[in-house]
Amino acid sequence: MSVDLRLVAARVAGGDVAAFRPIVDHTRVPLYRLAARLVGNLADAEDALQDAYASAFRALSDGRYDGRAKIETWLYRIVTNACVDLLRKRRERPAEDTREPRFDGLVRAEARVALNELDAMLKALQPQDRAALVLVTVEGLSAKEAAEALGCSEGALEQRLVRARAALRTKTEAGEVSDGHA
Amino acid sequence: MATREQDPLSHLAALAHATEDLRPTDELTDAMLLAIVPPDERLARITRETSDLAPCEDFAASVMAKVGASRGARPAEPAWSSGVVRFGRFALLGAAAAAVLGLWLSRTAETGYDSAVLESVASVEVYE
Repeated sequence: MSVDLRLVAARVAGGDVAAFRPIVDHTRVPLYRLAARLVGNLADAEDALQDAYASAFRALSDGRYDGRAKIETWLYRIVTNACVDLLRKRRERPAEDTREPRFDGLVRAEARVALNELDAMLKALQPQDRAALVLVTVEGLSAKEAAEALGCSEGALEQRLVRARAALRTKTEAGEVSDGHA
Repeated sequence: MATREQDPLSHLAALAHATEDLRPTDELTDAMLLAIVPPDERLARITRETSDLAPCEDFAASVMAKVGASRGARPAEPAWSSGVVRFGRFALLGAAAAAVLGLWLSRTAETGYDSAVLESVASVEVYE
């Protein structure tokens, strides 16, 4: 059954808190995957996604969603921003402790290993460059969609992609390869 | 000290013997294979392997709890003397004081005017 999330969003804007639940139910799987791929580990992805949903709820309640973009696209942008913020904080203050994810019951071991590998591969990139590469190469977004999610022009997105790919090539040529277990 | 006194050649032979059974683990092979795979192919494989990532059912409940908590928590009332609030309240008090003063002046002027008119009327009557 398809749900018109714009109508649901209007109910949230009218003060119906419970109406936010169908929005979370409908979008949590693709957004969880997006956050995990952007930040490279499940614990951080869960934190970023929860913050993004809380932020989206406040925006809906305050009438800051104008209804021009689809709810899914709008949430995609909020989650991307939350993940880029988290990556920036992680670069400034690397965490010493490794936290465990709490909602990863359905995640396969292969996916966890792949996420570790992705994080190790992209660790040296600038958060915005990393996000651009993940959105286009891993999430499969078009340049226009990725630029919209990152809130930049398509030209700026191309520059970020070029920088990210060059950094990856240099890393591979220098033999700095890790499989994520290091 | 004992090593220094040992003949260098026999020392090398001993080192060679001690390092004879060095073996890499399988992880070295994995790392070598990863090193020769282009980044785009690695990313494509990672994309496939993470395509079914999903949170468990409790996640939505946790989000709703967080959303409910954030809605219940109202921002603290700012102190009367802080920033915009201070100027706003002074402006309100000032406007109220000005209104009271204006009213008082108006009533005083009206009373004075009335008595002056009555006096004039009385003096006209006396003259007549």
